[in-house]
Amino acid sequence: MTSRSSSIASITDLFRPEKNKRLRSKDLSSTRLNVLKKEIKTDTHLVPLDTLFDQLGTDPVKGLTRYKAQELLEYYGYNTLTPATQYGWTLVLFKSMCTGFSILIWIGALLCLIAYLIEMTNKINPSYDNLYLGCVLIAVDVICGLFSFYQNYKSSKIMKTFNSMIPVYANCVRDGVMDSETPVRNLVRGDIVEVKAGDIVPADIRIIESKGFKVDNSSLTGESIAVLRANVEGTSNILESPNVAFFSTQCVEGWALGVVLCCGDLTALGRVAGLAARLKPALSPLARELKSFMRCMSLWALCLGFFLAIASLIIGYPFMQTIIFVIGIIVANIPEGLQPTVTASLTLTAQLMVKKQCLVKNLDAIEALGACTTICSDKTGTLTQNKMCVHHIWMWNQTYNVSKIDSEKNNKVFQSLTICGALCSTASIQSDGNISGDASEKAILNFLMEHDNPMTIRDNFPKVAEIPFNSANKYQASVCLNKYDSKFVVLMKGAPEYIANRCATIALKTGNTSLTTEMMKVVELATEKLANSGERVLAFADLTLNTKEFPIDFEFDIDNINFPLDKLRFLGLLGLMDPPRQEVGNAIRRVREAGVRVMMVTGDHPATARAIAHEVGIATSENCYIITGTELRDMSSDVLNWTLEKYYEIVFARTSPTQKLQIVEACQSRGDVVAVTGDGVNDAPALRKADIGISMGLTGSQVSKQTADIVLMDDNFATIVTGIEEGRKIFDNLKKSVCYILISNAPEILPVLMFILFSIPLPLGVMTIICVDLGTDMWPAVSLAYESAESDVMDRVPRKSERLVSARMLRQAYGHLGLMEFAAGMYAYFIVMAEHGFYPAALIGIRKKWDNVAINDLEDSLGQEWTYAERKELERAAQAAYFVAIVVTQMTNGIICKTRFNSFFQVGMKNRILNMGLVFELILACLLCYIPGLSNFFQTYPIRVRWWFLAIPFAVLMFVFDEFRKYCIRNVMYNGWFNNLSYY
Amino acid sequence: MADKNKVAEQYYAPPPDLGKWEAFRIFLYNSETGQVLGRTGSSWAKILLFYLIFYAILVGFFAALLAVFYQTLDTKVPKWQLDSSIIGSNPGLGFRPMPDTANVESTLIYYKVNDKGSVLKWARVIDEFLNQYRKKGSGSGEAHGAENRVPCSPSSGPLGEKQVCDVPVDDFNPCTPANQYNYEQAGPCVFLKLNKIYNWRPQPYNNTEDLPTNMPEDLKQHIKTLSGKPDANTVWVSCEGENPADVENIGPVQYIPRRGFPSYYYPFTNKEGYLSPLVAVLFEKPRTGVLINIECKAWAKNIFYDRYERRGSVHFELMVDRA
Repeated sequence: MTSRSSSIASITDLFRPEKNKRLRSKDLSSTRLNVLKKEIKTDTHLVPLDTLFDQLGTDPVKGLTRYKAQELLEYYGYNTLTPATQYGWTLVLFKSMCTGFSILIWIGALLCLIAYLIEMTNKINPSYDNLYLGCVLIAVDVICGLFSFYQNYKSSKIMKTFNSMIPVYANCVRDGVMDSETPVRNLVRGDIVEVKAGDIVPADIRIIESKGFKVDNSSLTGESIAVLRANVEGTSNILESPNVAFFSTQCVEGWALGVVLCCGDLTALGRVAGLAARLKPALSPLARELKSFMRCMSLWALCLGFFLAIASLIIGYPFMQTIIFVIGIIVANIPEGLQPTVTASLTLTAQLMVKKQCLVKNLDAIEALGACTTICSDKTGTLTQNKMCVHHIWMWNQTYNVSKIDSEKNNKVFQSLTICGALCSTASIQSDGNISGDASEKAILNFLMEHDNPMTIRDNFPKVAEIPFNSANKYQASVCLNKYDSKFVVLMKGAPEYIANRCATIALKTGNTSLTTEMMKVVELATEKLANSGERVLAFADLTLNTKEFPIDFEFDIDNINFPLDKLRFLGLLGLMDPPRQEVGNAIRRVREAGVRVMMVTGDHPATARAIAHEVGIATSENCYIITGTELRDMSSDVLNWTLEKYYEIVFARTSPTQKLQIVEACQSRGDVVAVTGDGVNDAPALRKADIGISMGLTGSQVSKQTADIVLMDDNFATIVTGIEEGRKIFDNLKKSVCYILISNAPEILPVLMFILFSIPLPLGVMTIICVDLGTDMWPAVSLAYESAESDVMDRVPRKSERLVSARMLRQAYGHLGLMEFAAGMYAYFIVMAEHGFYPAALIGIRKKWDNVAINDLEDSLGQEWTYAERKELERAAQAAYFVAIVVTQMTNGIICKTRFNSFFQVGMKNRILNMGLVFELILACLLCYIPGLSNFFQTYPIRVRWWFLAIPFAVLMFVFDEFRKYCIRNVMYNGWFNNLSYY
Repeated sequence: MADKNKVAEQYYAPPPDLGKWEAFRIFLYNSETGQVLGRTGSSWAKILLFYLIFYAILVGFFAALLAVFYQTLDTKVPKWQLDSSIIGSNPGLGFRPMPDTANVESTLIYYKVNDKGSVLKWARVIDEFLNQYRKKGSGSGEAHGAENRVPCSPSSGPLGEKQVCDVPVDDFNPCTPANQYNYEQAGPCVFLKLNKIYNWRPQPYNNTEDLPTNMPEDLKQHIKTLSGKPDANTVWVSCEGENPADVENIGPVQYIPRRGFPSYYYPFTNKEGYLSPLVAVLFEKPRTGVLINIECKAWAKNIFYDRYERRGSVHFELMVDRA
């Protein structure tokens, strides 16, 4: 006991408004999170009320004194939900600008500016090239940073939505005076509050006194069933304890007086909200892939740059030259276009999904859905319609499915049953045709509407008295006057075991007969069968009163019952159920075929959960393992892991919001990529923690929609299948995009090496590299996302070990196609040089003289002599030719990368976006070369038309080689040599 | 495949948890499978063979294409000439001796008059440059193509198909090797040459008409004296100090053998033995101990001057030290 109260005290302290001096705000936040993850442990609902009043220092009649309330308020803070400490957008922006490649690009930019400054101080006419390059690099950094900022920054409105669930005023007794205008935020522990029908409970309260007090706990359990709460003995689990009403739940019926147990963040809702807002979702699989790839790339680029710098300094290159090498190496190694391409591809898919009524709020989620290995689905409102319906009808010895009941229209028993149902249902039809009332009452009326006209029945049987349902009786009865024969009828509805005990006869098709013990057994069996299939069973009975004892003017008294309520005639049973959504069964089948495990995590009863699980196909055999919240509470994490390992089909029932989170975390720790579908407030923490949180757009609560990554706008579960399909497709296609981007890396890196090793004039400038990476390559790379899937992606199992960038892809990109591009580029470069008189042999070793400003008369292979400016112009022309060769070969690559497996001739040029992208690439390259300002800025040159064709033989070679490679891959030739080598 | 099945039949045992270093060591050499760096010997051999073939084909393809392209080139005539080539038709100037260009981006000619070593260093550079102008090479035999050289004068007729005009460098008195190109006399000679551009013909200022306003007065006077004569068909040369101080320090300047490049040397058509005409600029008495910025320009109607891009001009610094 002492440890419990001490832990309570420490939790309370943690959420005090004054910042704890010892903890930084970040630590405080994480400590709070850890505390919130634990199940609530308290005994305040178990101890006798008097003890509780003593503990809280309050009085059940007079309430707290104003002074004490004020004191407590100042100490513990307002009764509101504290928002989590959040990073400001500036910090997020800063972080986005400094992650991944960005740091390297900053280094490059800095080097450029340093080079410019050195040049400025040493020379009278410094060239602005380095300054421009530095500025361009900074711009590149900012652009890439903005792209990842766009993807990372989401202003979290979760707490706001939670706070909107809280009322403003409450009825509170203080100093013996009831004030109906007490602001809810001023409530403190020990306050005495009154809640009436329609009110929202202003804090977690323990009931002192109540009458017919029913609350809708859906915000905590997800089940929108009104439950009765009264001053009775509590159960150990506070969430299920019948003497506690929770913050933010709505009182549906009756009223209650209660004492506030806890406020704000410490309430059950506060914990859910605190978890939902504070949890940091793990990095998506794609983000993890990209992060590790970027880290490897950056490390490789840095090492290469570092070694080259050392080497070139040792060889004796001047410092300035070395800086330029390093910039070149860094810029060439980094696929700058990667982040924008990924973001753009995901955005495009997200837009596609919007057309399918699926709102993707977090771009990464769409790809994560493709990688998803486990779906934890909520039941109510997600798998089911959250609308009670009559599912089965049992009349003597036969169970009818609701769809097949029409054949029994003329059955007398059925007619009696409909009359009884219509008169017992307390639901009413409003003028606008809507049916209002309790879920099961509505269900009955809805059912009758389809098969009879309940309104006519009600008109023909005017109600004279009614005994409403209460938890003690477990039945509801009404007395009506039969207009046809002017007899009174007693009609009763309720739990089958109670009703059956009050019956003497039973209605058969053939007539009435007395209800024997054997028949009772049959009824019990039928009830059990229906209940086992997850249905809520109601029994109906009636009794026609004879006119002698009960003449037409008889006064029925419901307080002192003066009419018989036994010896009734048993009519039948109705099985009510929240039916699964139509498309769910099919969708789950397809999801499971795609290798994704589906588990149910619900707050509902195990029997209902099991029945729905069977119906929708989450459970296919009797092996289905059902774990209840109570069992889960006693499980260690090892046992839970073991269970997850051992049983494939698992249903979690009666789980609390924290347990849902616990299940998600357990799955994630096994390496699963977890999707959570849910619609309620209670799903929020799990939705947040999951790799993919999916919420329902129509029926879902605001909180769940705010927390989710994906919102199904039309509540159609089948959209998840499309989502998985699109997610897998986008992964396949992203591989193509990344490969496409990486291929152009090789011809960007190698020129710098050629420059150093062979001392030839630089074949490709840094500016032109940026033109390729962020200019010409961009559209085709993004448009590869539009490729249709090469094979049925739903036939595969979820990727687990498959990497976005694999060794095979690197081999293909750097070792094969990249080198061919490099050859094409060098060919173009050598040809331009040779056509102007510098033959390859003459170029090797010429670099020092070539780059020497002092030399004004450098002789070429044909005796012509070139001034510095002239040769620099020639160099630009040769670099432009190299650039154009890359563009031409990259266009071929766009066609090559369309497929990883199929032949180009099978696929054709059907991707219009890619076709446009290729044209765009060509036009952009032309603009860069031929618009005077641009060509100066980007160091290109208006080259001769004939030089555009130099790369074509290489493009053809690439195409032929790759078709051959794919042919070998398709036919697994040479012992699958190419499959192992380069099938990425 | 057989191996795979075997493995699948066995019960799955989680791999032993290896330390990082241990895992790396096994990656380097796995004694169980004989794998080095993750591949067995035969696997390495296969992959090396594959890449050997692959790259051989690629290199072969590249070389073949380059060879095909070479067939379209003339070994003597540039594919693009004059304005259709990037070299254009506006030659720049070159000067000799140049500092050791391989190491420094410098255009400074600096020496000490009294220091024999530094004088000889520059003289040797010029010797080396002028070597090609002499019929007898410093080493063995005659210079390549020297047999085609014939003496030319403004009045001499058109040259034969193979003939080129000789540049009689031995007559550049006092800028002769014997004299150490006058470096010892504190009046160094600097040789100027016009960049060779295939098929470029000068349009000389051969009379006093249309002389540009920025042409130095002494050059205008010089052209006036020769106006109308065949000797006037020359690409003129002028050397001046760049700044007012340099103009003062530079002292008198002599152009040897004449003040420019006679147009009979043009056009350059890459004939064997062709020599670029030279002008030796003799700075008779430059002020010693100071650095003098000198800019030399070539003058013709089709030479346009641009200091920044060094078109039609050349820049160098001269510093002569005593002591």
